[in-house]
Amino acid sequence: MEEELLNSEKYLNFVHDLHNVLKQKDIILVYEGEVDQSVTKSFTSLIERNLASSEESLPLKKRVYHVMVECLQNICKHSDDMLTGESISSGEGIFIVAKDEDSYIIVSGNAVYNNKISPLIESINHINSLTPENLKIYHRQKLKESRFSDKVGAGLGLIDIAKKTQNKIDYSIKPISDLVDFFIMKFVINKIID
Amino acid sequence: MLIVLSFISVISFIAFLIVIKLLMNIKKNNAEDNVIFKEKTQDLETHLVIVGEKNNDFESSVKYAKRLVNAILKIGSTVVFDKLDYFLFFKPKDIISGDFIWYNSKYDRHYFVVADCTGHGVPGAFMSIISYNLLNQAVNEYGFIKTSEILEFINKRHYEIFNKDNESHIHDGMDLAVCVIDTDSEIVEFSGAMRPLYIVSADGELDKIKGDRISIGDATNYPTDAGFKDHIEEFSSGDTLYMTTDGFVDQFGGKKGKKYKNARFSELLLKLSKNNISVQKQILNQELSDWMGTTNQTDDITVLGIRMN
Repeated sequence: MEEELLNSEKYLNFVHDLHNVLKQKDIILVYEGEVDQSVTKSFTSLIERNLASSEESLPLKKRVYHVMVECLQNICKHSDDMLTGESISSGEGIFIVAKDEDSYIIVSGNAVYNNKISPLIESINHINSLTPENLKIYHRQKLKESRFSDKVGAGLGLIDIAKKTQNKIDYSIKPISDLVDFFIMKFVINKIID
Repeated sequence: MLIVLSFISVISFIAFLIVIKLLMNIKKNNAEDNVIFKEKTQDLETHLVIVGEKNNDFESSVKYAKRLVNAILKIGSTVVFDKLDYFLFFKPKDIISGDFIWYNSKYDRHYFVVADCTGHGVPGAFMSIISYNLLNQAVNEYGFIKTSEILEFINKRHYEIFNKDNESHIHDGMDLAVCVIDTDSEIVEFSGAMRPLYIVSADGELDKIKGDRISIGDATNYPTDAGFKDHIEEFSSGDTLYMTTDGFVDQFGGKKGKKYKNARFSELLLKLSKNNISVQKQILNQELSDWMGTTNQTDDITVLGIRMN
């Protein structure tokens, strides 16, 4: 009985610590689980309200909102694959919106088949290497290609995010199993926009 | 001989009497007929007054409804879109219409719909109000982002309202074009149910992007296997897009009394796009009345033109 209480207290302490961490890191939203239509809608509404009550500039609000939507759409699309049985992960993903003194930070993490990782990294590295002007040209080129492809808009999301954030996309790969890696991307939106 | 003569005179006299009697009878009948005729005319006049009153009641009711429908289903003249200029050419066949437009903005993403409900007049307007609400639900409450998702949602709900679990045998539905202009990404996303999207680029090239051959509310074809396709196109400064119902191309007129047709309409859009967006509505109006001449309007007509500035 005493041990149970002790454990319970331990758990409550953990909650307290977690709360403190969230506060310290100024995390507005953290979510772990399946991302679908209703989740996307709830998060966008939540962040919309949060931004509306903040004193941030309109261009910044727009960027945070659009990058978030794009990011959730990315995870959503991946969940689609899982529904059709193309993926072995259960649609779990992590999604974080946080801010610090000079930026908003949006993080997404989800399981990806490791044979799909290298084209993904290639594409991110290429996007990161481009100047804003070349990014625009690359975006146009991809738009034209998408016209003749079955996967309309494939790969356009990341280019659009890069255009909007005007920052490099950070990423990290952590292996889960022989087949699957956990893939994390971090997007930073500066509060001061040139 | 005398007997014969007197017999003939008697017969003549009797005949004369009969003719007189008959003539009098006719006169009498005429008088009676006149009374009946007068009564019937009065009756008819009373009915005419009743029909007139009913017609007035109906017309004022429809005209009142028009105020409500107009307030909901058109872009208010005070609406301004950041980075976008537009005109709306809207010409209903009757007082109220089965054509309607819908729009919504989420920061830099601007949603536009031009829809054509089957029929026109009152039933068309009823269908418009239902569909308008479904669009609000899809974008504002459910938060669908892709244009294909919006069409899938509307199609599903139409089926549920009119055909699922009932024997209404309602085959009415609508054709529509949905697009989202992202002014920051400089793209337009589009999906169509039997309606295309026309884009005229800043350098004067016309592109017609066809919608899917699926009509909303077609219960015989539900659920569709293929679903609606998403299209993404570049849309930047100086580019103009047009969304329409089929009213303009289907309008009879010209020297031979034929339909306006798609090829002529594409030519018209190319010419139209060379002008400032603020005068395009007048040009369309002029072209339409020149084409129609004395011909009656076939269907509701709607053209929405949007230019990125």
